[in-house]
Amino acid sequence: MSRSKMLATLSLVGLLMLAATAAQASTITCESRNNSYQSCPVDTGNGVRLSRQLSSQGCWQNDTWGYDRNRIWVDRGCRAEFEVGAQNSSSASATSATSAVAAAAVVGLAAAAIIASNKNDDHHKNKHNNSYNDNYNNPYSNSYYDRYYDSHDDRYYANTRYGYNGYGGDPRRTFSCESRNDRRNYCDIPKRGHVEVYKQRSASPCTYGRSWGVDGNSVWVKDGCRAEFAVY
Amino acid sequence: MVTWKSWIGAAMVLATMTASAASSQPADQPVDTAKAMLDRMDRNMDGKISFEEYRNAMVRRFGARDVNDDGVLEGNEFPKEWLAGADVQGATGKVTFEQFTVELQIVFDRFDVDKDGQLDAAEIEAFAAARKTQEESRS
Repeated sequence: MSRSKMLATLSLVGLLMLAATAAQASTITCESRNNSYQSCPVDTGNGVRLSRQLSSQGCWQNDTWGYDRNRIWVDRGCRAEFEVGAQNSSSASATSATSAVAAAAVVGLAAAAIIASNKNDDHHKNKHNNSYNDNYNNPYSNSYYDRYYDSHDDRYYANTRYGYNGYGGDPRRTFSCESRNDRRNYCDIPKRGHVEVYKQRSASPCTYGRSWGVDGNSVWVKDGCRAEFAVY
Repeated sequence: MVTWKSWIGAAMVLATMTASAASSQPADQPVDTAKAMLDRMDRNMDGKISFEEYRNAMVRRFGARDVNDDGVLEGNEFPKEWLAGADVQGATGKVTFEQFTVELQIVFDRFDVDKDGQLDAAEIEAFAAARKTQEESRS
């Protein structure tokens, strides 16, 4: 074997090994149930990427999900698949090219049409108004929630059965709440539901548990958090 | 499957029209639509739409559509207007949650021309213009 050929072979082997290393990325699903905090132990040394969001309830990095060295955490209804150890952020595309293109058409159209359809929102808006559980106020009211949770694949739970938010994806109700002079302020939540930051209007961050939170029928804000909140 | 063929056509239509619309779009209707996109998706109010903002808005909308919770939009759940610009005969009128989520990044990247992970004003307008063109091609 000539030297150059050997070198080529060696570098090919090297490449293959690199490829094998890169392919060791694994996917882990981490889910916040009953809106509560969940920690999923995993070595995150080579990076974490949210590869697929499963919940309608928001998955916002460093707000409703995050990670540190040994775990990924999720909170407030965020459920997602995370790619761990991929090192780069190129998305895994197991899908065949054909169906990818096909579905791309659908999603492109979907995004487009959703915007167009927001005038029709009212037709469906109140569909599930009465079915929301009393999660924030009444610890004993979760039985239907739990039963429902257990008997279904929960992937689509958050926004369908209890949090239906209208035809075009409009939030059911928004309200604003502002902390002025960094002081704490309380604002009534207009409807029962899952509360999320819809628009953050302040430069100061609105971080759940730190600068805003839910307390009974109220949202509180402090430390200069000013935001429009949505109840889904 | 035979039906894929016409879907690919639809995808090409979308891609092509995006390019042409971006270069020759007067600032009338699409501006409003771009504004509507920002209103709906721009959570941190920076005038751009990040992939995270886009993903959250889109996944929530899928959930809102999926009334029977089965992870598939079909029948009444599937909005007919989504087929605007597609060959309706060939289209399945059905999309699974998996297809939907897999394509989010792909579609976003298509409009994120400068690949900075954000749709800025011009890119949002191109997106909105593509939508408008697609809408108009429906008949």
